[in-house]
Amino acid sequence: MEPMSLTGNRPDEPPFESLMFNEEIQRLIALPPAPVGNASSFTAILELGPTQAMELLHWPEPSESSNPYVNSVDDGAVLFAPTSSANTGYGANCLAFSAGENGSSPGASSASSPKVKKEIVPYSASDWSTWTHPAVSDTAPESKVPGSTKRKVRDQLDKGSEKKKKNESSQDAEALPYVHVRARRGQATDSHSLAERARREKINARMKLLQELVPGCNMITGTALVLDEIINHVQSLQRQVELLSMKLAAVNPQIDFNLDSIFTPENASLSDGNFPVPMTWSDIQIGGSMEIYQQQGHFPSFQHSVWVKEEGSSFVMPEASHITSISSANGVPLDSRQLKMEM
Amino acid sequence: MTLARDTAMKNPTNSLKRRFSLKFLKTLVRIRKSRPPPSPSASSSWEIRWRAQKIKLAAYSSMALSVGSKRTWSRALTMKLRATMGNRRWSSWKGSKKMTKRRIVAKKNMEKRHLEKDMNSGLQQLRQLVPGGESMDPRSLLEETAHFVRCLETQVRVMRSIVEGFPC
Repeated sequence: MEPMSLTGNRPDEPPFESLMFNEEIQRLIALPPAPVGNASSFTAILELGPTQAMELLHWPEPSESSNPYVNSVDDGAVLFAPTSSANTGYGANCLAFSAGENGSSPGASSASSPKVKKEIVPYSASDWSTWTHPAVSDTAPESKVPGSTKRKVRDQLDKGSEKKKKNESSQDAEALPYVHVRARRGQATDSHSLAERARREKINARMKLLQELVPGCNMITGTALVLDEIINHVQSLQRQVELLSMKLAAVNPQIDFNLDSIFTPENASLSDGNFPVPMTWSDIQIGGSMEIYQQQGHFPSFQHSVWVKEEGSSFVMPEASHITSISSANGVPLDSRQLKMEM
Repeated sequence: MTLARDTAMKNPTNSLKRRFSLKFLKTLVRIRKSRPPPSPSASSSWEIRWRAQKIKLAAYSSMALSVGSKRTWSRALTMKLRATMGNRRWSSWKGSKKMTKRRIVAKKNMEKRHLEKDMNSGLQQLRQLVPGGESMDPRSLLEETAHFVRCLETQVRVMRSIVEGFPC
C-alpha cells in the first residue's frame, strides 16, 4: 500500500498546510522533529512503520458510523500519539479527542484546524495562552480569513479567564527568562506593549517593596514622589553616618578598647545567640565608663550609661548586680581586663 | 513564591548586624591604637575631622565586607574604597570616580533617553547615590536601593548605640 493514500481522503488539500499544522502541533507538544513529507510525517509521529500506520488507519473504516474519525484522523493521531500506544488506544484517543473538540463536526480539515488549535492552546499551555512567540504570527498568514478569527478567538479566551490567572502569570513572569504575559481587557496585544507592560509591572513591584521600607511612603501615590522620598531617605541616612562618625571620633580618645580578649571567646561561640553579646557590650561599657569615672568621679550615673538603648533585645544588659558589685571597688584603678576577671 | 524570595534577599538579618558590629569595632580599635590620642583638651579640629573620616570609611568598608560580594553595591563600594586607599585621597573619596568603560557606555545610553521625565531623573539621582548604580537597569537598581537602605539603617543603629553608650 502506498502511504500517499493517507492524504487521499482529502485530495483538495494543499499539502503544505497540513505540514505546517503538524509542525505547529509538534512544537507545542515538543515531539521529536519529523522529516519532511506529508505521509511520512504522520507515520514518524506515530513512531510506527508505514504499514502498521496504514492498518491503524483502516481499522475504523469498516464501520460507517466512525467515518468522521477517519476524516479528522491525522489531527487526532497527531495529538495523542505520544501519550499512549496507538494500537489499543487509538479508537479511545479518537473518541477522547472528539470529546475534547466538544463534538465539533469534522468537515474539511481547514475548518477544523482552527478549532483544534483553539482547544490545544488551553490544554498544553496551562497558564498562559498569549505567547509572545513567533509562532503566533506564523499561524496568521496560513489562511487569511480564519487567521483573523483565530486570533480573536484566542484573545477572547484570554480575556475571559485572565482575572483568576493574572497573579500567577505576573509571578511566573518574574521567575522565567521568557516573558509570557496575559492580555488584559481593552489593551493592545502586540508584543511591544506586552513586553513593556511586563517590565512596568516588575518595576512597580520593586517600588512597592521600597515604599514599605522607607517610613512614611505609604501615603504618597505616584512613582515620582515616592522616588524623591526614597532619595531623601538615603541622603539623610548617609548624613547620619557622617554625623555619628564625627561623634565617635570626638568620643574615641577617651576609651580604652581592650577588646582582643573579649572578641576571641565571642567568635568561638557566635552561634549561641544572645548570651555572648551582652557580655561583650557590658565589658566595653564598663571598661570605657570605668576609665572615665576614675577621672571624673561621677559615680551614681554609672548605671545609666551602661544600658544600650537601641539594638533590640540582644544587646540589652540584664546583669545589674554585677555592675554594682564591681562599682563598689572604686579605689583601685582598674582596666577592662581586670574587670572581666572579676566578673 | 517569588515574593518570599525577594523579601529574604532584601532583609539583612541579625547576623548582618552582628557581623557588621564585630568588624566595625575591630577597625575602631585599630584606629584608636594606630594614632595614640593626645590629651582631650589639645585635640584639634583637624585631628577630629581626620579621625571622623577614617571612622566613616571604616563603617562603609566593614558594611561592604559583611555583605560580601552578594550585592552589586557592596562589590562596587569595595572596589571604590580599595582604589581610594591605594591613591591616598582621603578628602575626596566619595567624589573620586574613575570612568570605567562600563560607565562610559551607560552614560551614552542615558543621554539617548529622555531625561526630562520625573522617573528617569529620580533614577538618575539614585544611580549617583547608590554605589555601582550607574550601569544598572531600573528594576535591579530599585532592588539594590532597597538592600542598601536596610544596610544603611543597620549601620546607623549600631553606630548610634555605640555613641550613646558613652556618657559624653
